[in-house]
Amino acid sequence: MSIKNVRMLSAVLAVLILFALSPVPAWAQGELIPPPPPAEGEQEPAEAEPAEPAGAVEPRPEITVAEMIREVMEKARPLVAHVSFKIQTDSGKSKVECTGFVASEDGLVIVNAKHFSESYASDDYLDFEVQLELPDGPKTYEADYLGKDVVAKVAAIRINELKDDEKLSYVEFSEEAPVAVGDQVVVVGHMGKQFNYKRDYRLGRVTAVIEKPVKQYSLTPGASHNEDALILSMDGFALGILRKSGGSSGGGRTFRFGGRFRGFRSFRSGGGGSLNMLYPSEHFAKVIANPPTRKAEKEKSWLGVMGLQELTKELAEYWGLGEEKGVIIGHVIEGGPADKMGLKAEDVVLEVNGKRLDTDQGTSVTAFQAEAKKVEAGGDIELVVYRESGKVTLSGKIGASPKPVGKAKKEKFKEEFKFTVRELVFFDLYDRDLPIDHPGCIVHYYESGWAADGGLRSGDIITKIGNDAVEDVGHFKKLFDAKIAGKPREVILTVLRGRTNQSVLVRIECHWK
Amino acid sequence: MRKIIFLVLLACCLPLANCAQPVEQQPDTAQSITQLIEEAKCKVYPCLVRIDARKYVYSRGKKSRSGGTGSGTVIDDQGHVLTNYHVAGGATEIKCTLYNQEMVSAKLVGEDPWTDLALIKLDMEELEKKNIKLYVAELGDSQDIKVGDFVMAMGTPFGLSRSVSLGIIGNDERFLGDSMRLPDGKATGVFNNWIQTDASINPGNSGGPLVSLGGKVIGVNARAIPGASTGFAIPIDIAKEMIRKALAHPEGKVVRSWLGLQFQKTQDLERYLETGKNEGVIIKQVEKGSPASKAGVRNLDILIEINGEKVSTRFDEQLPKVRKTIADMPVGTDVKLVVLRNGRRKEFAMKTAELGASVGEDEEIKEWGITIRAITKLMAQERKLPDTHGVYVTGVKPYEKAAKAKLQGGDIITHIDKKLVEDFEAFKTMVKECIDSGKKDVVLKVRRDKAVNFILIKND
Repeated sequence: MSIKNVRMLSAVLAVLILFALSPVPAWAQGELIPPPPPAEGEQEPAEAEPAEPAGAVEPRPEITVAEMIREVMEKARPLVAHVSFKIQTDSGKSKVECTGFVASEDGLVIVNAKHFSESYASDDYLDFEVQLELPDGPKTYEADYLGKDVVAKVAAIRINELKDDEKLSYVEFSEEAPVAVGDQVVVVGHMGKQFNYKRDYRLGRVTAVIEKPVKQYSLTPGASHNEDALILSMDGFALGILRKSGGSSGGGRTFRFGGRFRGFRSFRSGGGGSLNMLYPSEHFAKVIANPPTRKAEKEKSWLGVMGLQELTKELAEYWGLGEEKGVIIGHVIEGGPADKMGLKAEDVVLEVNGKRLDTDQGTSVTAFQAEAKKVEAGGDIELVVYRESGKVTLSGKIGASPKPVGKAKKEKFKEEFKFTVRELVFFDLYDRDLPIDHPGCIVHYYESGWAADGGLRSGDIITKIGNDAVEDVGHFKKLFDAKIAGKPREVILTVLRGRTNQSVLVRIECHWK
Repeated sequence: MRKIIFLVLLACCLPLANCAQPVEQQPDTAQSITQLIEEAKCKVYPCLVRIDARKYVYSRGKKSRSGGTGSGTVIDDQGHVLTNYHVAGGATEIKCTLYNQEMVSAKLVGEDPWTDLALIKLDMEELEKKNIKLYVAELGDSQDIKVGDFVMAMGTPFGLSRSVSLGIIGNDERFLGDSMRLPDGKATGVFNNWIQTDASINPGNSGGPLVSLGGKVIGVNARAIPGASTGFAIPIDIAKEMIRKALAHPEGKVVRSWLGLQFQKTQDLERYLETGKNEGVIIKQVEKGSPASKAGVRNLDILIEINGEKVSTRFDEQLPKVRKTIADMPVGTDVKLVVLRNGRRKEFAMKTAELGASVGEDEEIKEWGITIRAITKLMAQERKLPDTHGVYVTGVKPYEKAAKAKLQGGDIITHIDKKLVEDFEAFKTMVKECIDSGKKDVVLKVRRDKAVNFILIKND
């Protein structure tokens, strides 16, 4: 048995020992539902003194595990939110249902960021509804999207119709007692659509502490739930949210209660190998303290470099750079901020704004990115780089990140044509080696209709309609509307198609009624 | 290796030509069809061979042997056997099982991935030693075939012993798209249309003959849509040309001309293009650095004449013909192209260049644990590389030197220790020098997508 296996075995044994020491809960003995509280008449005499020997430690209050769990569940009831919203897509609105939790008395609700893709603009998320189970019954509130934090991986929404005196219960985080292997937790989420998103409570146990790449905790498979569920400690404090992560369970061991080794699990069922991870609140505490605001969505800064590579000790030695630490620039985007300041591919960046990249933590690449990010779009940046001629200092301004596809201007031609075009963004042109100011617009989406019948495809860059050159998406809209106003028999588009930019003529036949 | 390439059929049916004409060998009665099948079978069956070919494949950073089974037809008394490129192309060891179940060695003498055809030659001494009589199949004329003709597909489906299936010609000039690829990634099928049949063609039938009821080989079975009773054969006229050219070439290759043009049909665009109904073909791409590009031909020019001959490509089915017209010229031929640009006639003169391979040679660099591929002009065009310098890494073997240095499949090695890698051959020499010199560390400059990356290979 390898050392690794021995370690894993001891970790599992540790869990089992903890398990054996803690009072065996009812569910562990085969009962699925905690037993109901005894009826009044049957209540055991609470005053009865336990038969403790003299001099024993202070007796703990008598409370069964089932009661503890029920208490936590009760506490969690008003904190967990069923959130639903719609995404405005080209084919209509699509609905999303998820679990969130109330993070402030004035209605801040935190949800998993995975529901908010970069492909859509903030305005495309609409019709937010937050359903809470309050002491006086369920209540639904309207809410607004605030934004998401890509680092913390959570998004924030805010209930927007709280009455002046209305204050919501919100989650509390414990500042002490970090989570440890063996700890029991309560997972509160919602069931799927087929069960009408019923609130669902489960128990889990922490099975492992994962430090890298970020701190997370693995939970027992029994805690399996929809992602986003809120996880609480047995003290009723919120610990974090549930995340599923892919991970191999092959080679794991299977034990019987009682801790006897039963065998190895050698197969990993396809797709079923995801782990339940507790994503602790420490990752998103800052977002709760300082939630994103719609207006404060700043332009991201951008240097216009790609393919960053760490200057390893070996490469530094090879190039005679001694102990230097730095980042090798793989590619400089033509016309981008780095290009304008004279940075070139193969340059080795040694300093950013006077700071050397020889950090003890992380890599020089992460240090470089962090230093560059500190500069706001439009701000000054100075780089010390090594190139064959020796050390050079370059200075210039950091630019704003190119517009993402989600924010590109779109125009829909619904009716019979059924296609959507959008503004060309930097990444469309970069990928095809086209100049940054290339005219035209790009087919964003199409469905069954005249345009599809004519052979128009997503990703086609429209450069001409008939014999008129297309400048941009707005110009195309004007030209196209003018063209079809006369109900022509056909519309001919010239498009650039595929990686090699083939010029293809697309004939859209019109069948006006 | 797969013997038949399955593909999704996108092309649509053409109007069927000459349906009304009676066909000579078509049977009148059930009795006569049985008789014709029997006669045709007796003529070709003895010429049918099962081919077991072994070749080297280069993937995941290592060279390994791979085997496959297909079919073939003996086409002359010198022991030449016609089959598919994807059966015997690149084979280093070939065994043929003949009609009498005797096995005879053969060697590869000609190959042409563009038409997916290969020519192998039986070991005549071995045949003589084993006292095996050779039967030769008669090759027909695929231009004489008609839609609706009865045909038989012969071969060894799934590697089973020889089999015959019966069907009719469903289409005699099926167009199967522009972007067909062989299992080794090579482009194919751009210079010919296909014979479509419902005679059952399965993996293992590849390379086998499609036989008319007159007992003549009219096609080479090559492809099928699984479970759809739809198979495709390369017309025998294309094969006859390949055989002639490959046998005349010292290395068994088919040399073609190249101008660097990609075409689009003109169907229903005539009014917009202001051309006649059956006039011209749209140039959708002029490849970078090609003779046509150098001469000044541009995307969206309408090609109307090649060396005084009118060009007409109103339908997709006509595309292979215009490509073949250019390809069939001897390399270096003076060509005059007439195009319409904005309604005006323009003439361009150029010389044809040789059509290179779509995919380059492969090699294994065992010392580093990588497999590499030569970069051809067409590959550089497709991958948008600035030139053909360097080599393409097809795979990296785990735990070996290159893997430890984090070289990746898809990387293009452009420099070794700051020296430019001119091409595939130069790379092999440079690597050998590095290894022989016992140099401790080597730094490779690689192109990964658009970025430069440096890889330090430790030779200790």
